[in-house]
Amino acid sequence: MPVLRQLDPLERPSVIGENVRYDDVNLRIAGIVTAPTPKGWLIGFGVAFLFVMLFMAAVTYLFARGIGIWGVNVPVAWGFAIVNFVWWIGIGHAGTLISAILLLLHQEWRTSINRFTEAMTLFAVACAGVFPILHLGRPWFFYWLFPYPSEMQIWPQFRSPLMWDVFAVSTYGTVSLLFWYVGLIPDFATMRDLARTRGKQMLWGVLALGWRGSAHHWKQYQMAYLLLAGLATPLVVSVHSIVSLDFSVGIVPGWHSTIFPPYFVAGAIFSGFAMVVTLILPIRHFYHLEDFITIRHLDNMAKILLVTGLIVGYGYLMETFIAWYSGNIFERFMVLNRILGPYWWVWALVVICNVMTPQVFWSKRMRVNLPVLFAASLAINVGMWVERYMIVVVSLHRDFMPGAWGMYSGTIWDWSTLLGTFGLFLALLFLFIRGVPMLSMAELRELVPSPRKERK
Amino acid sequence: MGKPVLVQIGNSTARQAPRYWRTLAEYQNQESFAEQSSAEFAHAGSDSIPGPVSRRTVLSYLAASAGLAGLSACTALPEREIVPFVQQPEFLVPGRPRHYATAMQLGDRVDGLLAETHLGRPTKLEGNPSHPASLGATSIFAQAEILTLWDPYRAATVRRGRNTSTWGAFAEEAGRIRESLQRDSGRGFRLLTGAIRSPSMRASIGEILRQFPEARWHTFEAAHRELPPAAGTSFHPHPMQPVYRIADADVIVSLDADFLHGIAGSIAYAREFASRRRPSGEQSSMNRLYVAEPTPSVTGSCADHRLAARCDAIPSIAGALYEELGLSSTTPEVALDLDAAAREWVRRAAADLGRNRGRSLVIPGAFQPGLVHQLADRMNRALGSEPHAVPWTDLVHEGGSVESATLRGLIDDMEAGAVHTLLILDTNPAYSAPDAMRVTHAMEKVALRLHAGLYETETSRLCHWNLPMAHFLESWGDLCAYDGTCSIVQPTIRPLNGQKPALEILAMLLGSLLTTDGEIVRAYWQREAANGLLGEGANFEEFWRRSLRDGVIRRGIQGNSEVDARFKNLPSGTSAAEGRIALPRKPSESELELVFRPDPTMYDGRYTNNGWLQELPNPITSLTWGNAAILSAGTARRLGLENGDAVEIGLGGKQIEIPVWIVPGHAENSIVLHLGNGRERAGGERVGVDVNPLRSWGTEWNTRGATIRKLGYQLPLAIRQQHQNMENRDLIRSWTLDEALSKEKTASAALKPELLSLYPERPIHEGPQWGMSIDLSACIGCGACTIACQAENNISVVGAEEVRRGRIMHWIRLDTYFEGDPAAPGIYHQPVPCMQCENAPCEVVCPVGATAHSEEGLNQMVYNRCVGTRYCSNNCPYKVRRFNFFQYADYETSSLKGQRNPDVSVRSRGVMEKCTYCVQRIEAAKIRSKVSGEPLTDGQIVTACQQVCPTQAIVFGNIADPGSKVSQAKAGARNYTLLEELNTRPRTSYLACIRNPGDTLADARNAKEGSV
Repeated sequence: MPVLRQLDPLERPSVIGENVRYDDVNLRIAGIVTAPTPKGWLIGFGVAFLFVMLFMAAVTYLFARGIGIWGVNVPVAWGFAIVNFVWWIGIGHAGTLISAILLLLHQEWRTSINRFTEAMTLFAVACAGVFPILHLGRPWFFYWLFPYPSEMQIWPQFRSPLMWDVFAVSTYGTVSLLFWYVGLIPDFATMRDLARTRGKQMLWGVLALGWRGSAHHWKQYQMAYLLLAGLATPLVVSVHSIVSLDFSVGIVPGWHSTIFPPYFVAGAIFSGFAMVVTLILPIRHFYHLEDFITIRHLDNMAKILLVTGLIVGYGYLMETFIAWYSGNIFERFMVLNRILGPYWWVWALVVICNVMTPQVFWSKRMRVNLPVLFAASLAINVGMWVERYMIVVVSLHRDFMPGAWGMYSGTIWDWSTLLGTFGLFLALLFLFIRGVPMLSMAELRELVPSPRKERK
Repeated sequence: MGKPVLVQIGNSTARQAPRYWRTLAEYQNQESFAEQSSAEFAHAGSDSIPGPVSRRTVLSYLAASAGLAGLSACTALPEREIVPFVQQPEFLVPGRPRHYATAMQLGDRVDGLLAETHLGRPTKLEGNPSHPASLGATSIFAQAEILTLWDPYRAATVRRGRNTSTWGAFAEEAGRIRESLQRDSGRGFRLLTGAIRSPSMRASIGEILRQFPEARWHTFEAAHRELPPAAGTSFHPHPMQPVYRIADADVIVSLDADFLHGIAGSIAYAREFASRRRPSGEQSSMNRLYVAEPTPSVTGSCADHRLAARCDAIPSIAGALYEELGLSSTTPEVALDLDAAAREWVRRAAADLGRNRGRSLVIPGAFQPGLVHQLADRMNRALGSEPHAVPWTDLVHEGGSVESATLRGLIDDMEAGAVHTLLILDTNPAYSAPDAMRVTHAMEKVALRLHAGLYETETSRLCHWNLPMAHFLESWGDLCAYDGTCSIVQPTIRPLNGQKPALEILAMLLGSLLTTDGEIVRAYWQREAANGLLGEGANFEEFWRRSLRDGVIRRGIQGNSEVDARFKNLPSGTSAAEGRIALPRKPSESELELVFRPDPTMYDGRYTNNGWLQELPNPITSLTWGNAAILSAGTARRLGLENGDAVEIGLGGKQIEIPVWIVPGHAENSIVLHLGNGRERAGGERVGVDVNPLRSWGTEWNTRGATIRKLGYQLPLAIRQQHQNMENRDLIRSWTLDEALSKEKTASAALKPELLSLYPERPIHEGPQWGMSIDLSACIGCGACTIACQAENNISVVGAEEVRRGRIMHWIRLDTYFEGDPAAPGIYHQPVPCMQCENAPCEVVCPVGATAHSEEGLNQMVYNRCVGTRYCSNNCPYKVRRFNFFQYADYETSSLKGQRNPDVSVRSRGVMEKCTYCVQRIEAAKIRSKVSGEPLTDGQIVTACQQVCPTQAIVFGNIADPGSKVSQAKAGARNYTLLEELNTRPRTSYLACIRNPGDTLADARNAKEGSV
């Protein structure tokens, strides 16, 4: 179990509401699951589900007709699919960072948001994971990318970063799932104990894997959780580093750069935290979780946005500087083309959303101003998507030989697939909120000030 | 109860019989139906069972019917003898193609060809190396003809009106026509054809005119300017043709003549031209080309001094040149108000011509008026370099004297009601003639109109009878090329749908005894032989077989002194009395000029349904699928137009709506419109804009007074190359001749940085290492390599929308770049196939290893393994990889399956593809070498692009052999590789483009000597 140090509440805002008691934690969080379905949830889920249907339609048409329904071409052979993939994978990073690294760093404020962000990670990875398969010319042969014992003794080509992607993303997905599930075990037990009907007791009981809450259980559990955190920690860095190698191994100007791994990881955390803020603010509001997700959480997340935003900005600056400093005409042209070429608006959006927007968080007032925070997080989400568009599309559309240059724009099917994954993501999130305790009851109970202390 | 009813029925039948009918046509009692139904078995003999019907007869017919019932589902049986392979013919090995020599005609061009057939299917056409007009190369059109042959939209059935009819029915009709012609010796009968370069065809036509003396023959070629003999061109009356000695000329001045691409003999001219563009150490070895033209052409893009001049200014430029050469005897001081650039161009050209007397040449443009031809002829004669002219019809005995009239004469006659029967052989005036509406109305006055052609066209729609004509690959024939060389056209396949060759259709009309094309052609040459063609004692059979095999009829043409003498004695027009030519003044520049030209890829519209040609980028604009109004940047600015803006161009009350395209180096205030687009009836949808409505007789090639109005919206254009600025990158190296000859270039080439790689060096394998060299100095940008590659490698056509989205599939593309002043740019072409990099960036990034390196240095694509991540394409700095975004290859249309090269996979959706250096040809040669035990020799393996290249700019071979041509090409100082700094180590390298503008100072010094 995370070691919790009691901080002087006068020093910093508390990570949990003043009047929260042990019972409140269980009742209020489990109550979200056990209560009758709210109408708002039904509406929200219904809308998300419509987008899932859009996704299904887009994918069906894609499989029937071929990749040509998208806007990809030569020279821009990668488009929305890869942009979306990188974007969704990036979003997942906040979850892993919060769950694993902040755990190891004893940042107890992570406790109330880790479950939620882990779920977000999982769903984002699911959304990301479909794109590498969808974008294949012959998606029915996607398994050729796995090193399976083929009867023709053909192996994947291990020098290809796409191959590394397969390992990185599948590992990431697996570890995220395990981490999330292991964290849920004590809460499943709580749900089992709270359940009134035999069926529910059975269901929660099976999911709780026989958890009885003995000291022995807790000891093993804490160790397992820590170990998983240790396993997940390198993934925070590795997954997006490897995704970035898809680009930096390539020789395309705008891709071929050593700055990519750190720059991508920072960007991933940046966009991931932005997404956490975007999602958590409405949930906090609708489910009245202000006691568990306090101003202090939001303040901390805004600070992380500021820091990672600055790292990303530094990345842009270095790319530009190196393009000039290297004297490489292709690199120079690439930067000039980004700023002044036909996709100038992409570059402008990137700078506005990713560099300028987070600067408001220098001010504490802005960090805790919920509308500002929400708007900024949305802008960063958009900005990070557009950044990947800039890297993928704008670099490719004008590379080495002007005779082969071209333009790219997404088609209605590109947009449908992107919107469809929003639907998929939100629908999964709605199911999660409704079906599973979205905050970690077991960990939150430890944050509750001890009753003895209170009695004093 | 039954009996009275039966009686009743019987009674009623007698009185009012119920009308049973088979079709609505019969019900309506149409005459046509009655004829058709009665003539259904016309070719099978009598219609009904003769005599009284016995039991035995009925039974025997029953048995025969039952026996034949099984056949009725099949296509018509071939009428000619075909023996199945009871025994495998010697030399016919399945999997090994056979080649047959043949020839094709397009306008006045004749190319000698070799048709490659796989088990009886013609799949590819190559140039016939022993044919002087082909020299082993072909035009883009010859490459595309194979697709036309297999085109499912070709006319397949005889039609009478809208109804399906039969050849038998037409035979009856032909008999009736013949009878009526015999009655009044052919009065009112007219035959309209394209240019006829076939002696036996001319003989057949001659026979018609002999039998029916009142009949008339008219010819019409939409893509040719008719130059009346009265224009004063001493050598141009049809069908005589000048033959230029390009290789001998040090200075060539083209007055709007696209002699490297667009005229009869272009392939040979391009070969000769390129032979003087590869500097071999001495200054004088390279020729110099001056071109004045309204819009950049293939020839213009190779010019050392190019002048963008309005089409209607060319005569005054010719006049100025004439004057500058000191030839004008009457008005020497006429100041032709040319602008400074034109005057400078004329001065330089004249000086250069004058310095190189006897080694210089002036070529007039095919679309320029007779005056320009006259001036050019006089200049050539004065410079002592008159072209050698071949009145080719003199070389054949029969038919040579037959003269044709023009389409205009026919229209006048039709309007006057003097024509009652019109037979049109594969020409489409209702679409392509100036004042096409007039043709349509005039034709309606003709009582019986017959059309035979490859397609149903705008003209065929107006005709009563439509006869599907066989493709030249399905028929016998003979053709004479620009220099008089004749070839036998031999069929490679039976007509796919029972079409008939034109010769047979004429024979039906003549009722001649020889009914098949083969017999007619053979009989013709037998008569030629009897007339002494072969000389004494020669064996005709031997001659025939040799001619078929060689594709060239061997006889003394070039040295035909009689012909030469006759040409020399033609009125030359240089006598003092005739010497006065009124030099034209340059017309006002401000008036907008319209110039009409045949489309570089669509020709006159006959290839509308040919996807390869539709998708072949225009050599200069890279426009595919359609046409645009081409204009200059200055004119566009003045009119407020941008690329793709729709405009309405009006002339004489007629308007067309067309997008504009700006081309650097285009003349100001001149709009070039390409014919051959926007056809209504051509199989698929209408592609492009028909500009023909703006043309009328007299002004059909260029005219003034057009209005242009911006419409305020864009029309989509399928442009292949969107960016024609090289962005200061070292992609095309272009040196002047002086630079090339100086040592510095060689030295700088040696100063290469050491290129390092993280990957270990590839081991050098034993055996051949393939490489390619492309000489940019020889490349004229005609695009033949692209379409030949398409034909060889089963490359799909994707359509305009997909081209617009950047998904064209060509494995070898032609990049065209402009350099310098947009008003007078340098124009450079660069064919870009796969570079077959030794350090291929595509190979490392493929996750499934679908692209790998062979021991012979080929970067191979394994289609079966490709999952389509497209990473390889992203990582290819040359962007030569092509992806099947959809199922582009047509698996459905059965006739197209016949066209495909069986040695090349047909790719499916979702698979990457690219140039393979024609690996199927490499492997075939290796197998042959292995079987025969003889080692591979240099030049034995020829890639499709190399084979078709008119200028032999592409050389392929083994770079491990220092003696190979490709090694020698790569050893020169001009050799460089693309994007060398990336260390991809391409196997395809380029030779720098050399231009020979000459030394300006030396020019000035020599200016005085220049006058003649």
